[in-house]
Amino acid sequence: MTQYLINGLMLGGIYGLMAVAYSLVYGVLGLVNFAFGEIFMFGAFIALFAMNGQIPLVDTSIGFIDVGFPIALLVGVAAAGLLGVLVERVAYKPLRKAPILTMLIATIAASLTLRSAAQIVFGDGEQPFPNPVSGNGIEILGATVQPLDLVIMAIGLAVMIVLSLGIGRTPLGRAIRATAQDADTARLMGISVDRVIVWTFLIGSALAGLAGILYASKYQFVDPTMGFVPSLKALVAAVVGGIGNVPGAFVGGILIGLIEALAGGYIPGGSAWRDVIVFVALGAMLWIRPQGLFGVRVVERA
Amino acid sequence: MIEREGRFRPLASRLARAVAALLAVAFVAVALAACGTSSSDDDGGGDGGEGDITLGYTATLSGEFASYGTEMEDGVDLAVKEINQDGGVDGRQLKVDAEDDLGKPGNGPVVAQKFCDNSSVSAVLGYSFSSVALAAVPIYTQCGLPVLASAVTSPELSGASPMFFRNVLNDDFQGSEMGKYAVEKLGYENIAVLNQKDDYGIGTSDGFIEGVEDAGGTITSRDEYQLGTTSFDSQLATIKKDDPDAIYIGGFYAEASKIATQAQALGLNQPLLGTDGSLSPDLIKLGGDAVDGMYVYGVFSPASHDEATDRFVKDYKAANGEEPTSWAALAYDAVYTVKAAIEKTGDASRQGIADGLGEISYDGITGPTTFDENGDRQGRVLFLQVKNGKFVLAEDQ
Repeated sequence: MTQYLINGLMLGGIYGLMAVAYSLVYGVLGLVNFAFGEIFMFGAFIALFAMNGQIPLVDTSIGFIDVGFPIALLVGVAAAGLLGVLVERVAYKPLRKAPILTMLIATIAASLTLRSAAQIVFGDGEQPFPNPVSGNGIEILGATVQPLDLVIMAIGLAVMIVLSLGIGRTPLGRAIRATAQDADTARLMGISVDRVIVWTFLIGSALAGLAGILYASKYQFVDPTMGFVPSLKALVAAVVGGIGNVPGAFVGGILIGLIEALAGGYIPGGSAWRDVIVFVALGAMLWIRPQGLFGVRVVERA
Repeated sequence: MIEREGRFRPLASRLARAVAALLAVAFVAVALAACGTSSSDDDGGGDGGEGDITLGYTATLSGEFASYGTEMEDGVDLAVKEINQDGGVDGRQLKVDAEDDLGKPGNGPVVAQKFCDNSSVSAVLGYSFSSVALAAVPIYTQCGLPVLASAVTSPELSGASPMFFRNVLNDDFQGSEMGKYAVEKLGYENIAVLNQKDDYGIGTSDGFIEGVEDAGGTITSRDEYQLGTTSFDSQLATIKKDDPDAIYIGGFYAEASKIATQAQALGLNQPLLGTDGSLSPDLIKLGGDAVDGMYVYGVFSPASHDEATDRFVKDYKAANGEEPTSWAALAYDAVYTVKAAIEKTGDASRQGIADGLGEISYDGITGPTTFDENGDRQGRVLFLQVKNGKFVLAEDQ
């Protein structure tokens, strides 16, 4: 039991980080950014390259910084954040006045483009990712907890606390909340909505990249298609938590991780069907509470 | 306006009539052509007389799953080159006619019909996908053209046609050999099974479990996973609780290497057993020291040092710049098996080769080849172990 709970918490922490990314951008723009799955993947790849000291480019490779995991993590997170902003500037900003469906399609296009680019430039197939925090597992109540699991949970929790404080207490946080509530009025109040959007993408993409790096460390591989399934689960986590609600998204992520681990462990033959079980359970939950766990029922804007 | 319409309507209908007439003519022509070819191949084709002997080769040669097909083709080409240099088959040179089936079952009958209609083709080799081969088999039965496939393992192909043979061993048989080996030679009595949820994983694991239980061992648990799964925490937690002697992974290398690294991290130090789906250098690249000591099975290993294998490995590397896989080795053996069949009956016609394949016993680089009444091979399985980042033959075969 404890083993399944620990696994669920750890996985949930990773989903939670990415769910927050979805929630933030949705809150500000009302947009589901499907490209987060690929930002997640790029973050992991860049961190790996920073540890390997080179970046593969189709058939050759170029030199890159050669650092240990903590610095590589920061480099990967920063690169993911900048990539997210770049995608927003190039692909989404010109469409900001277009119907939301057009932007949604642009995010899908960005997602496919980034994935194909990674397949061409970094190469198809999986590559090994080193376990950054080796060392023996610690026995807690019959479960083996790896040092890495603790690091992942600690990073997830710390980032959430900082983010909640940041959104609640800083001027930027206030501007983000104001824009989320009513962008037009926020603009009239002298808030640069465009700047807020850039910040939102920067923070959201950095979180997605961080999630990608932690995921790659945990499962010890990177792959151009690695972001797809985790990003779907994170999106569901964001919806379950009440999309637009940042702490809700994190709780939603933890919940998904727990359901996944427990379904795999306790339902006979459940391991092969755990993704299905997760999505069915969450579908049922949304049927009971359509606005999500922490969401507020809002009237759809006309 | 009205006048115009009046002028154009007859023209349009005249055009339509002309097109219809053209189509009718084309249809008759095609039908006649089809009759012509089908009547000509009723007499068997692949004449037993003079000239070159043509082997049809078909597999998936492009797209995402092209590697089996191109590796087999390299094996076929190498064997044909060697045989021709050594004077051919009964003094006749071999030729290869290659066709890409694109991995689509719909192309199976199309390619088969092409080979059937080409009366110079005496036998067909290749096939990457069971589904494609299954679609093609009725055509070969009809025109009496023998097929010796090298990579298709579906049980549905057993006894599918008197013209269909394969020199790849089926998953069930190989799995059960592994099961017996684990209990009898390695001495593992309680084994946990984790398998990929598809025909391959289920087939090999069913065989494995049967082999283990026949040899007196016990299966502590069996869990399944979908292809592409990244997290095996729940399954491994169950295994950890049961504490078996070994873990069997019935699946491909990508998942096997993840199971290995995650098991190691969880503090599970049971030995790992795997299948030919894990017999890939990528298993070691991805799994690192977590897969060290893992046992897998296969029909061919560049590490088994006999004269014929060494020569094959050396020539294959010289021609293609990489180590041969078991698919290349099986296709290489398939060419020599057809040669042996022709020499057995002294008849290079389609029926002659089919009869010969049913009787021969050929000893190649993948071990002995004989076929049972279903066209399945009675062969032997090799057991390999990962040691210091390489596959080597396991000590106890």
